[in-house]
Amino acid sequence: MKPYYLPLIALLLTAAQCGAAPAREAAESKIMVMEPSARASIPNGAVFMKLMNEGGADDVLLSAQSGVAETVELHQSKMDENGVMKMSPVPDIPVPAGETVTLEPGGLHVMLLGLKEELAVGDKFSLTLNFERAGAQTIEVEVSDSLMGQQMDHN
Amino acid sequence: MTIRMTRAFFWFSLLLSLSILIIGCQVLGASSYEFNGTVLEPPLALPDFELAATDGQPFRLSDIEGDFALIYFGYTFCPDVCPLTLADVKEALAGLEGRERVHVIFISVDPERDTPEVLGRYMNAFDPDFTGLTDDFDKTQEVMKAYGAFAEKEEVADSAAGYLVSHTARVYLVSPQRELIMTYSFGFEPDALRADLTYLLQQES
Repeated sequence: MKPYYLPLIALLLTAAQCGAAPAREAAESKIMVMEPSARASIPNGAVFMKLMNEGGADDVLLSAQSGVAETVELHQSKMDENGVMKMSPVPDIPVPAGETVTLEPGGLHVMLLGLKEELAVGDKFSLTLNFERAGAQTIEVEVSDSLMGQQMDHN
Repeated sequence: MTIRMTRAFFWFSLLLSLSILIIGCQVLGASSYEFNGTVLEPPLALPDFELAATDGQPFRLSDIEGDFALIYFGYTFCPDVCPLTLADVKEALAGLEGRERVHVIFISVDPERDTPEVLGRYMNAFDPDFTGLTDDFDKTQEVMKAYGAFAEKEEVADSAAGYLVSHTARVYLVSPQRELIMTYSFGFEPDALRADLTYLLQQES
């Protein structure tokens, strides 16, 4: 074998890998949950976070559960041009492939309805997120005040 | 003669220019502070109101005349926007010189669920110094009109919440003369509010 074939073979192998990688990932969704936080509150609470879809497939957050509240729902707040804030439940939260969806105050949030106990700064509780493709994912949420939440954003 | 006049004119002009410069600087200096909130020009004179406070006592806006007030219309069931706003107001007031001259008044737009006890607990969770008012919805709406604020109850079918209340998410800053002078829209920076209050309190003293 002549040596000048070597780079060509290497190139072909690399190209084959490039093609194979997305094809393998296309079937799966990998959701990274980042910076989950809740604010101290009663009688309801809200959990904010970033959902990063690192996989090759679109996914959808279908529902959430937690032992700290009677009911957990997905909600969205929206402000109209007159500064009126309207909150309403959403059936699900789409997390497209390769994108990051931010759940933040004044927007999407996981709503904790009927907290069994007051959420105080420093408390930690677990929250299970049910994704259509990625399945159930349980995360730990820490209760922080707004200042801490803002500091987390800078990190 | 002509030289004298020219000289006199020179000194006069110099004096005039200097005066203009000094006055100009003073005027500019006085108005150099730019408010962060949305300024109402001219300020809007507000009618007095009386609503029940969480301690069962009637609260009148005129009770705190001579001091500043930050007024917010919200409800305890709101888990997102209201707690954030209250937390931001609390942060803005922390360590403020003249803090005792700024009253925070949270007026419930959901008196059905916000009994004095529920609202009292909610206010205490933020700051026991904050005043919570909850009264008839009609009475509250009458108060809101003067501020250009709005609230509407909406039934929600697919939620354990049963109903939610849409409401204006602004903070209203009332002057010691009971005039609406500024508003802050949702998501304002606590530092921005603190700076405005610091300036206003300094102007007052």
